[in-house]
Amino acid sequence: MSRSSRPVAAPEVDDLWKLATSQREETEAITPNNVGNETFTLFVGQKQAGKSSLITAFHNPAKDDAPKQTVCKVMLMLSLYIQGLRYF
Amino acid sequence: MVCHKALSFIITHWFKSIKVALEYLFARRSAATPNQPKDVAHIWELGGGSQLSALVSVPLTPRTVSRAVVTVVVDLSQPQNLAHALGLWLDLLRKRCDECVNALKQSDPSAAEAILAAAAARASSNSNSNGSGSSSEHPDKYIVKPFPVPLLIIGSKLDTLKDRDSQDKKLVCCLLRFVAHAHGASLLTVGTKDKASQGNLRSTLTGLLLPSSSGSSSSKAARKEMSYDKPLVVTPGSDSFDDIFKASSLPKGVDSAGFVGKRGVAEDWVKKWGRPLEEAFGPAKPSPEDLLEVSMEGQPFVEGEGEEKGGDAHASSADLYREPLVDEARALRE
Repeated sequence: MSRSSRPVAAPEVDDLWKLATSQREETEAITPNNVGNETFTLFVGQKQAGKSSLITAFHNPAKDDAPKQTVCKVMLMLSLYIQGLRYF
Repeated sequence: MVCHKALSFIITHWFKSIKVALEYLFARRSAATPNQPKDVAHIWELGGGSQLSALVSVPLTPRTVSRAVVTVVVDLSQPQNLAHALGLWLDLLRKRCDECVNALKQSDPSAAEAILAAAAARASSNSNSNGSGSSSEHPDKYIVKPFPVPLLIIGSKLDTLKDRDSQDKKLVCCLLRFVAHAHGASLLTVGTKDKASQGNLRSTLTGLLLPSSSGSSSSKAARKEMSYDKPLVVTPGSDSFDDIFKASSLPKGVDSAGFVGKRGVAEDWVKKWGRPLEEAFGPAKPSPEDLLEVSMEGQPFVEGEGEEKGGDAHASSADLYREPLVDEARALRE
């Protein structure tokens, strides 16, 4: 008579990254990557800790911390598009 | 017209702050000797703080672990959070590195053993701990728990510490040196206005990321610096717990006996360092993503959980991710 109001647990779905890495690990034999002089570096830390600034200081010391140019271009294009729409 | 303004406002202020979860770039440099392949450093940056920590498994795999370098960046402008942030990231990264080494052991045991041997050698190298360059056994050889891959800890925004009390600086310096030495890590503190520290950063990263091309410039390697008044430069194995907890440099409220024993470093070092940090800088302020992670008991995503808890989780996450600029633009539109 009584019906349980508890929602049925959804089946676990792996995210895309997990699927991609697991498929790659399954298909490729695990052999250390010793080809050439390559290193693999991971920068981690809390938000706003300064990771990007440090990477920029190493990778491109002459660059200042200006916002990305692509954003400005997108805004300019959208602005022109909207202004153009008003004339039609 | 209002719509246009609101859209421009949103695009200007919102898109600027968008960052890809896992950013990639590479650095390439000619080898020191001619006719050799160029050095390539694949650099990954994990954005979003600990919320997206599961993505560490993308660059750190059994295939790459033998050539991996891990860098943990901590914010010195919020010293009260240092112990918590370091504990969180180091646990997470060690777990992933151990997984990779164990997976590698199954297919190539010699490569896995080489990684562990190199880690032990790094941490107990006793490289120039007294300036003589002697190769004697390190006094903390059996206490230090070396990280499987080269680890670099960077304290950023050093400029914000300049005006603080010397006791506060000693405390931060002592904590960073302790954590770095306990994990066999390199340590740097970097300020944006401090050119010497920027130079230290570049030479240390070049040495770690582009090893063969930096061979000729080893004379330019950053000099060891452990004074709390200057940007820190500590290489793995060059420090010792005796030096770190020396009476003259020990900040108030810190006792070496609580942190290091004969069996090793205390398991609850994060909690133990939390107390003096809280006394000096006030209570720790965990970031919103950490709060979310703790409330979800390690599950970073909240879908489905809110229904059982009466929507509290959704409400709290909405509060945590409040965007005043977007709200303002939305109000303007309405």
